[in-house]
This record gives sequence, structure tokens and C-alpha cells, in this order.
Amino acid sequence: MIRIENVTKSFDDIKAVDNVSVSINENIVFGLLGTNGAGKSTLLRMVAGILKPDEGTVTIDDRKVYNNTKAKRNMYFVSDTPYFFANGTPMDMLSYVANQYPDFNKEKYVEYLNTFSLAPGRKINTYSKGMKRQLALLLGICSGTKYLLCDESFDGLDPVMRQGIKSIFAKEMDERGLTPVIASHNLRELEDICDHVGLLHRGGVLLDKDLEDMKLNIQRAQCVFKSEEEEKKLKEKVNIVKEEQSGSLRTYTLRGTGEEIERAFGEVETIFFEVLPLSLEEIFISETEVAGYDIKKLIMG
Amino acid sequence: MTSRSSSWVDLRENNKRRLWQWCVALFFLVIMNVISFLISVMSINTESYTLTYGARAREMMEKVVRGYAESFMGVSGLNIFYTALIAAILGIWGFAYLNDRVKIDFYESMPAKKGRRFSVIWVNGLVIFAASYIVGMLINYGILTAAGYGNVFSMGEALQAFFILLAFFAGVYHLAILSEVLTGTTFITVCAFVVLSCYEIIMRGIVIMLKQDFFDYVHTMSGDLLPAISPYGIFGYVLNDLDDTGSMMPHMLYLIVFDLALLILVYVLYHKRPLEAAGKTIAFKGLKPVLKFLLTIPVGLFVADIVYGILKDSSKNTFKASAITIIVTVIASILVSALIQGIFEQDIRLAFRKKLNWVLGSVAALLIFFGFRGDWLNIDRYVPSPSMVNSAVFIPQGYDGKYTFLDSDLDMLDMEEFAVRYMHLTDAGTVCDITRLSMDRYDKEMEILGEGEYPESGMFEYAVVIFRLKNGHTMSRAIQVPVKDETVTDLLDTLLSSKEFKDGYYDFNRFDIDEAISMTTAKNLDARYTDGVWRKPLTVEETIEFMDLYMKDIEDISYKDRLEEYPKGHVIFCIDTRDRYDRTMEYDIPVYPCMKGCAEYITKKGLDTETMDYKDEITGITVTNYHNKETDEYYNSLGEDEEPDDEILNSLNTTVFYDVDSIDQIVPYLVSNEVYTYRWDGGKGVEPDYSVQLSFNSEGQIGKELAGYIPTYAFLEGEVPGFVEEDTSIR
Repeated sequence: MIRIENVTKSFDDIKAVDNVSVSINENIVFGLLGTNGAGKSTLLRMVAGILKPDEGTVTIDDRKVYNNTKAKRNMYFVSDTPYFFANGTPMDMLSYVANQYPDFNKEKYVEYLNTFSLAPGRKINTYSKGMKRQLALLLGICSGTKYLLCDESFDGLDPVMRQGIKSIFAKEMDERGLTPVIASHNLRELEDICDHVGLLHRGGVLLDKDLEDMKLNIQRAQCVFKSEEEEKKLKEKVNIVKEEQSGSLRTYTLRGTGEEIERAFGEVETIFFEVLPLSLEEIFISETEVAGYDIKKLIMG
Repeated sequence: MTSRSSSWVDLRENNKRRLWQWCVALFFLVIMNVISFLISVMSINTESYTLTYGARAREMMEKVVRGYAESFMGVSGLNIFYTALIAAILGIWGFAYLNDRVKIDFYESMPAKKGRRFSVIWVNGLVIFAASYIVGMLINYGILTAAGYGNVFSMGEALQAFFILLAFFAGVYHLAILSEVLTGTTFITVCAFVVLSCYEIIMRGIVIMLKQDFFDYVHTMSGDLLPAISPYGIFGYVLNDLDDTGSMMPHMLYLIVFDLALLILVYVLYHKRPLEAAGKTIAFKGLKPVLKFLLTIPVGLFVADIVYGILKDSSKNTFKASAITIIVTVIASILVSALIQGIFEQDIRLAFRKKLNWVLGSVAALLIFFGFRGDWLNIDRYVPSPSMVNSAVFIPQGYDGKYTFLDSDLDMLDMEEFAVRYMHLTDAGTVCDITRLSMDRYDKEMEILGEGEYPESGMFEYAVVIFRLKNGHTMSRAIQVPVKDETVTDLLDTLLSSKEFKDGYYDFNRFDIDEAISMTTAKNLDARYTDGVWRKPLTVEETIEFMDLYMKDIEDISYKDRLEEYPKGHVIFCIDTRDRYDRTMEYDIPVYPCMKGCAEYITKKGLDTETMDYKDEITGITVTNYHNKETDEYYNSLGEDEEPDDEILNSLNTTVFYDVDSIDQIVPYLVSNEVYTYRWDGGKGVEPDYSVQLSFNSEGQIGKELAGYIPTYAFLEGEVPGFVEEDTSIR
């Protein structure tokens, strides 16, 4: 487990990360969301042991990570701008990274390179931006580490590649319990891949929730009541997050499971009633609006 | 787990990243060095040497090849330059990843210990230099052997040079790494390296400048500019040791210890360096004010000295000069401080922040400047007590007509270099007394002059005194010695007559004079004796005999012996030196009557013309009295706008004596102007007012030899015949 406890980091007069506490369980895909400058990269670089927190602690499996090779051996960091040796090839990178990570799976690496049509002997500086990101991710995946920290690594990947990487994640999670931590400023990038999401804003954590829980516990319902009395009755039975009205059509965002909502509507008289699924984006909008933020401005890139 | 094999893989991987650094090292240390050496060796034309030197051709060629081998395989200027350049490149660019966030993210997230990463890069730098150097050296050695000169430069010498250069390399390499870990961008790193390399020498230069401007007695020795706490300075000392006959081990050890200390410092700083410093100017925030302070001071001092120097010369108002100096220094300090702040912030708009730094920088510069000006620490007039002195050096500038000297290996040295190397005066009491008395007399003289009066002093002669203190330090004073002062003369007699002084001042006993002269004979020894009229050549044997006698005479005579004498002639000859420029050293040795061995030898050999015995050949003596004193007094008596009267000025009187009686009376008092040389000791000189010319019968022996040349003579001080004085007085 990655445990981030009361971590603060400042650069000169700017507080990049302010008293952040997040725990990342094993064998999940953790999404770290936030606008540019929210502190995602700084937090990930602290988790990667590159930066030393000014305050607080970052531990990986109960080992402090800064300056600790044992802790770092469990983690691979894919930077937002991955570095490759000048004139290096994927095989040169393999040679170096495999020397650092004893569990590096060379066969799998070559296999993945072929799968993604990345020529092992071709110079990396001739690769496209997306190919470089794929290569960086493949190096991380094959390093054999338990945790894979990806800083904006999915930006620029085409849907096919995303799906490919996603499949590999699923496979690795299944086979050896890989825990990818993916930072992104774009919620849509994470929507279909993450199990758990932390939302960073201005250096602090705004939200830290399991996506399934979030999806299960918030619903949208549309209905037309027979009378205003029925509407009042419903409002006493449910927890309304948001309410919209268009003529006699009411649209509610409600907390609770689908069953609970349906049961509550079953107890009032309606002309029309329907429970609709919410996209992750809509869930975030609702949740952050409750907290007083306009998420559209924050992360809907 | 760090296994040896994974370290090897790391080294190999790091090498791949440093290919261009390999290329630079190989280019200079192998390609350039080998090609230059090959061309040099091939350019030796055996036939030409055989024609010029005959049987000695091989010896001369070996000498030339050895010179080339020293240049390309030894501790030469070329190799020193290559070493420093490569060390800087390897140090800065080896660790340049610290300035790049992308690379930091990659390398620092890897599960490798920082110490291992450091050692891999550090070792690789050493390997790149050492391997390139050794390859170049071996190829050069192969060329040397193949050309048949394997004996002129041994592999041992080549390896010794390599280890010396390696120690120097390590120092510069660590300085470059230090620049890297202290800064955050490559441009600033390069600037920092230049500043770190030059800082001490600049500070020393400024301090020397201030000393020269404000101190009368503190003397700057040639080695004073050498920094003692930088690899360049310490290496300079090692080079001096290499030139000397002494051991270089102490300075080599110092250099190695310095290298190690610097290595520990950079290792610690490498670990402490915050990685977010990449892209910033200075990695350690706390260093910023310190650096600013350290950079502002030399600029402030330099400006203060220049401004004060200009104002002091153009205005007699010291207060005004000081006030303007303060204002300009403060402005300069603020501007420098602001500039550095702007660089730190990477935004010139933020330059005028941190105003407290302005105050500190300006105040420090002004305190140091005025501290020098007023000699607040009493540095200038300080003379150590004899009990503190281990040994001393006393260098009377130009005493006995000597300014350049030859070392035991016939290398040419200046007076200070020679004396520092060989003079060890244990009579520190006398040296201290001379120094103090000279300072006192000179101060008094200046005081009188300052009051607008003309002192009745004797003459002052320049000398340098160096004290080797028991605490290991050396201090030097430049003094004006009142050589006419009786007390000082007695002290000088004690000091300059001592064996210790002669051992450290006369270079003839340092080398084999027979060998030196015989070496010169290959180019025809130009040795001659002159008494002002004749120039009689000396053979090689005569020169060697004369020099043997001269060395004995020098041993026997005292300082005072010559004071009342005037040289009867000079022996002049040249020796080919063995210094790197193959210069020729000319010796001009005055022969005084008290130097009995030499004087008798000259007479015995008939080298004296004994011109004065040929009175019959003299047809006339022209004596001119310039009346210098009267002319000076006349000039001084003139008002500001008053024109001098030509009649009075023309009152200098020239009289020609034709009669035999007068000639007979004048001749014994005459000395040749040609044998008169500058005398540091203030000994017997000539009357400055009189000039004498002898005219010889053109048909006589001397007249024929002179072939129209008219020799000039003078009267010794206070020895002008009365009738001459009378006949040439102002009428």
C-alpha cells in the first residue's frame, strides 16, 4: 500500500502540495485527477522518491520512499515527459532498466514491443510522441514492480493503444497484483480505467473515492409528479444533490443506490419516472459542486 | 543489492551516454597529441643537424626530441591545457543530468543508491581521461622508440607525468562537479566553474593591487598570485617543484589531499542537493546571499581602487577623493548585487530585491579598501623579530651588475627566483636590522620631502628582503636601503661579505663552469677583457682560468673592500643556457683592484692596455665642466614666467689641454667611462660634472687601433686636479 500522510511540499514561496493524505490500496487502478498546477506531478514525484516532502511521509509498503532503494524497487515512475537515451533504442532502454530492476521481464517486453509494433532496434528519437509514451509504459509494466506511477502517461494515446495498455494493466493486475497510479488532468482519460480516484486541487485533496461506490451511490432520476404534494413526499424520502426543472419534468441527482431510489419513487404517485445512469464526469460535477467547486472549470479538458 | 556485475553494467551504460565526451578526450589526448608528436619527430632533418653540429649532431637531435617528448608526454603547457579542458567537460557534463528535470525523473526514480550513481559517473570521468591519456602516451612512446629515440625519455618519466596530471585532473574535475551540484542550469554551471577557477586569483590580484597602491614596503613575489586553495594554484607549486631540484612530494601530497577533500565536499553536496533545483540558478537557497556577497566584494574593491587612484592623482583633496570613492563604490556594489540577484531570479525585473545585501556588500568592500589605505592592521611596516625567522633572503637589485642568473642545470632565472632557491641567510638579526633602519630612514626622507624641503640624505638603493618564518609562511618586503648610512654600511658589510650570501648570490659556483664554457665554444666563445680602450679577446682556457680566480677573489673580499675602488676593467663573455628558449647569458664581470687574483692575471696576460703609459700618444685632453649644480640652482632661482639667460646657461666650460705637463698631471686621475657600471653599494663613482675626451695621435699604436673612436673618461669622485677645476670654472 502507498500511504501519503500529511505531505506538504513547497517550491520557494509556492505551496505545490498542501497537507495531502491519501492511501492507495494494492491491486487497483488509482486515478489522480487535478488541473495543471494542482500538485499531481509533485505528489507523484514524492511517491517516486525523487522529491523529499517538506513535511509528512510517503511510504510504500511501510517503507519510507525517499532515498530508499528497497522501497523504490517496488515502484516504477513514468514521467509526463519520458526520458530516453539520446540515439537509444528500446533495447538500449531495456538494458539499462533491466539492470536497475532485477525482476524485469525481458521476454514480455520484447513481446509487448511486437504487439504494439514498436521496432526494438529502431532509434527512439524517430518514434512519435504516442509511441514514446507506449514505450515508457511498457518499460514500467515489464519492470516487474508492484506499483506503476504514470504521470499524464495516457495523454496522446489513441483509443486503440489506450485499450491495449488497459488490457495489459488488467492482465498484470490479475497475474501479479500490479497497482497503476495514473495522474491526469482529464477525467475522461481515467473514466474507463480507474477503480479509485483522488481529486487534487490547489495542492489539497478535494475528493478521494472509490469509483464503483460513487457510481452506485449517486443516481439521476427524471419524473413528472401527479401533484406538488407527491413531490414534497418524495423530497422527504431521498437525499437530493441537485435538482432541475423543465416545465413539469423534474430531473434529480440523488444519493443512494438504484434500488433505494426506485423504492422511494414507488411510494409516490408519478405520471412518468425513470432512473438514468450517470457518467463519471456527471458524478464528479455533482460531487464537486456539493463541495462548492465548479469541476467543469477544473478538469473537463 | 549492488553486485559488481551490475556496477559494471552501469558503467557501460553510462559510457554509452558519454560518447561525445570520449570523442573530445580522444581527440585532444590521442589524435592531436600523437599527430603533433609524429610531425615534430619527423621534421628533424638528420642531414641538416650533421652539417651543423658534426659529431654532436646525434646529441643535439636527442635534445630536440626530448623537448618534443616533454611537450607531448610530459607535464607540458599543452598537456596541462588539455587536462584542464577535459576535466571541466567531464565534470560539468558528466553530472549535467542534475540540471534536467526529465533526466532527474528517470534516474532518481530508479532503485539505485545515490552514492552508486555518483561513483559510476565519477569513475567513468576518470576512466575517460586516464584511458585516453594512456593510449596517446603509449602511441607516442611507440613513435619515439620506432624513431630510435627510446632512450631520451623513459617510460618512467612518462608515467610520472601522467600521475602528476591525473592529480591535477582530479582537482579541476572536482571543481567542475562542485560547480554542477551548486547550480541548476548548464549555462550557470559553466559560469560558476569559471568563477570558482578564477576567484582566488582575482582576489589575490586585487589585494596585490591594493598593496601596491597603499603599501610602501610589502613586496609581491612572483608566486604570490598562485592560489593556495585551488587545484590550479597547488598544481602551480608542483610545477615550480618540478623545475626546482627539490622534492615535489609535499605539494603533490597537498594536491592529493586537496583533491580528496574536494571530492568529499562534492559527494556530500551531491547527496544534499535538492533535486527540484534543476532549472534554477543556485541549488542551495542559503548560498545565494553568500555568493552575492563574495562576488560583490572584489568588484567593489576594484572600483574603489580605480576611482580613488584617479581622484588622488588629479586632486589633492583627500577627503573629497574618499567621499567620491565611497559613493561610486556603493553604486557599483549595488549594481553588481542587483545583477546577480537578477540572474538568481532569472528575471531582471526582480534585480533590485534583497536590499540588505547591498549594504553588506558595500560596507565590506569599503572596510577592506580603507583598511588597506590606512594600513589598519599594520601590515606594511611589519618586520618580524629575528627569533621568528628561519632564514632570510636579501636581494640587492643589480648589486655587482647582476640581474639574471644561471641555475645548476644552466637554466636562466631572474634574481628573485635564484635567490629564493639558493639563499638561506641565518643571520636574520642583521637582515631585520637593515630592513627596519631602511624603513625608518626612508620614512624620514619622505616626511621631509612631504614638508616641501629637500632632504640631505644619501642615496637609497632598492632591495628585496624575504623572511622564511618558522611557522612555515614567507613574507617579503621591498625596501630602499640608505647605502651611504654608516650603520647600514656596517650591517651590509656583515651580511654581503658572508659566505651564505655569496653562496646564494653568485651563480658561478652552481654549475660546472668548464662544461658551460666548453658548450659555448661550439658557437665560438665571445670572451673579452676591456679597460675602456682595448677589447682583448680571451681564449677558452684563459676564460676558465680567469673564472676560477674570480670565484676565489669573490670568496676572499668583503663588501667594504670595493667601496673605495673603481673597476680597472671588465671581463665580458657569453654562455649558452639550457633553458627552454635556448637563450644566451652574458656575463659582465667588473675587475676591482682588490680582486688580486683577477687583477694580477689581467696584468700578467698583458690584457691591460695601460693606456696611461702611452702619454706620448695623447695629443690633447678635452675637459668639459657642466656645472650641474650651478645650472640647477639657476633654474630653481627663476620665476615662473622668467626666461633663462642663454649666456648663463652657456657658462659650462670646455678646456682643451695640449701641453705635456698638463697631460701628465691629468692622466693619473682619469678613469674610463666605459668600465663604470651602476653600483648598488654606492661605492666610488665618477664626478658627474666632468666629461673628458682623449685625442690620440692617429699614427700611434692606440690611435691606429681606435681608428677614429674617441674614448670618454671621467674623474673619480673628489679627485679632480685643482688646475683643471680652476681652468674649467665659470668665468
